[in-house]
Amino acid sequence: MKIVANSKTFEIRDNLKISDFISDMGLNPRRCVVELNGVAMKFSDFENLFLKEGDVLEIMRVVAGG
Amino acid sequence: MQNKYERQISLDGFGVDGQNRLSKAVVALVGVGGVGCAALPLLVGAGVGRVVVFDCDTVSMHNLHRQTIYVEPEVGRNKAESAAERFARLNSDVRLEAYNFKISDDKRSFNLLSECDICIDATDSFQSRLLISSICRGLGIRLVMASAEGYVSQRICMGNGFYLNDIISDSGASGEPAKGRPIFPPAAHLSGVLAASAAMRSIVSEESFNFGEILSFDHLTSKFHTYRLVN
Repeated sequence: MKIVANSKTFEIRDNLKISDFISDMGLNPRRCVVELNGVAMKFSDFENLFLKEGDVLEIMRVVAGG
Repeated sequence: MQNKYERQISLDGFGVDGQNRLSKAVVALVGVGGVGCAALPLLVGAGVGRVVVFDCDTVSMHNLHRQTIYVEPEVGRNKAESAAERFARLNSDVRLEAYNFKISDDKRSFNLLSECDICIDATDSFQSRLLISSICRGLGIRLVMASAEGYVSQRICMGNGFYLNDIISDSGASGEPAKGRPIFPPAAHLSGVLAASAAMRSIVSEESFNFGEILSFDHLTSKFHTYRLVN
């Protein structure tokens, strides 16, 4: 199935959790916030959510530098 | 004599009342590196009554590309003291205090932060940021976390029960020191400007502070994105 993440289209397998998708991108999901179809979520909100066909995801890795 | 603040007092929603609130406010600025050195002159210039600056770091040659308030002869000087000395001359209305020590979980840090209306975290590691967030949570004060890495600027507005450990659930983060990763100088400065903006707006108009708002700007695409975690 297809989803859009950070404005790019991805072909993903079924039954894929948002947190696993983020990990597959090389990011630590515990340091990310996401917006799923316009709804902002922190890790505890999205850790058990599965992606669905057509989902639009925005992923932000929180940074600490300065 | 001209009022030095007339160009901001004349803003809609600011006024003499807003200026009076600014002049009575106490802002903590933790860190005067790439982010903090952009925020500090704005707080001082605008007439925040008391600005409390913390930094135990010294100026290094590799800081100067983005920490542009310092100059080469200051390499080796403490940043808080150097920055305070420089901006004390910007606005004599402001009580500017420099503390050459690292914020820690002790009485001195707690007491100083407890005197502040709002804290800007402009440090450079999850270790320091989670600690500052924890202290601010304990004190119940507003916290603006401003950070940058690579080409990205970020600002997170916290308080009202929402703090950094609500979004960073990685147990390793609290022990993670500064990483010294690549950073685009304007990314650091923009974070500082955004932090000063949130702090000043919060003082002038308390209800303007959006708890749980996360703002991110990508300097490669010139796009802002706002996440609202708390309604």
